[in-house]
Amino acid sequence: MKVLVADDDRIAATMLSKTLRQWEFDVTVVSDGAEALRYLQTQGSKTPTLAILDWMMPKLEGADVCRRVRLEMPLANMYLMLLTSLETKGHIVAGLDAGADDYLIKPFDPEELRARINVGVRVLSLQERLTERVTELQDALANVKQLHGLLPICSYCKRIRGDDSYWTQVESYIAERSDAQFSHGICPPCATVLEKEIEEHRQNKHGGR
Amino acid sequence: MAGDAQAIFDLAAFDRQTGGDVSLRSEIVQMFLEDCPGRVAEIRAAIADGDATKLVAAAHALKGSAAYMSAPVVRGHAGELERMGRDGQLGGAPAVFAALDAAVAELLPELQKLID
Repeated sequence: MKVLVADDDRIAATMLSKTLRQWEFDVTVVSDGAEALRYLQTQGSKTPTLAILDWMMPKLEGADVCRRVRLEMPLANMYLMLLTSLETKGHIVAGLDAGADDYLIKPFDPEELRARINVGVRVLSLQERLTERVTELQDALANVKQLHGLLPICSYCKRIRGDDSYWTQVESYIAERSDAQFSHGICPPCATVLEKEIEEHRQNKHGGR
Repeated sequence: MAGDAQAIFDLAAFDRQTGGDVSLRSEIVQMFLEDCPGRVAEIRAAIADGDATKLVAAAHALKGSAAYMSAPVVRGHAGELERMGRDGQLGGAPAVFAALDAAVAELLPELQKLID
């Protein structure tokens, strides 16, 4: 799992990044908000990314990074945590309102941080699975869609007129537009009619002699 | 004296913070010993200039690193100076700074012992 650490204080950044590496996360460290935003933008919408952001940073504050990510990448799979020594209720509310998923006060408690990161990882994994499921459903829907709508069909030979104005057999029309395949046979009612016709044909032939 | 030393620096809390990683402990202590005098100088200058914005930034930075160093007294004084800066009320700042300076003077040798 990729984790971004953004803090302009090297003590905070080192403490956090080394702790995360002990837990085997793939950690990237940046020292200002603009760099943090650039990193998150390059991750794209599909890579699950967890970011732990300081609030007071040069160039762009942590809360503004959250705001920009939510505004510019609303579908990105990103879990954003603010880790700051700004501990008033007003800051906590403002941070979460800006788009942070969680808010922690410095210094982090290792056990609490671990537990909160696990929450983030769970949310990211869930969203990743949901995204995959939506893609599968969209693919399935694209196939079904081709068989939607009003189809002109010949009521005598059952051929269907396609978009190209050619009349095609109903089975080839469906086979081209879905995953369905056809195995040919004769159903019992048709078999009865056919047997009758064959019998009549035979009798006519004999009668003709 | 031992009681005062405990109050200025909480070794048990610091070990918990570093997860018992000795190399991380040394690295962090070294960084703090290098960075702290500069931070204190920035705070001193901001108070002398009556610059509340600079005071907030410098005191906030020292408060954050002192928190990771498990140094509650320095953290407390730095937090107090940050609040004064935010409120734009620097009247009491020199007195708090004197206390901060004294606490730092007590803290740094304690930390130095960890890496000697």
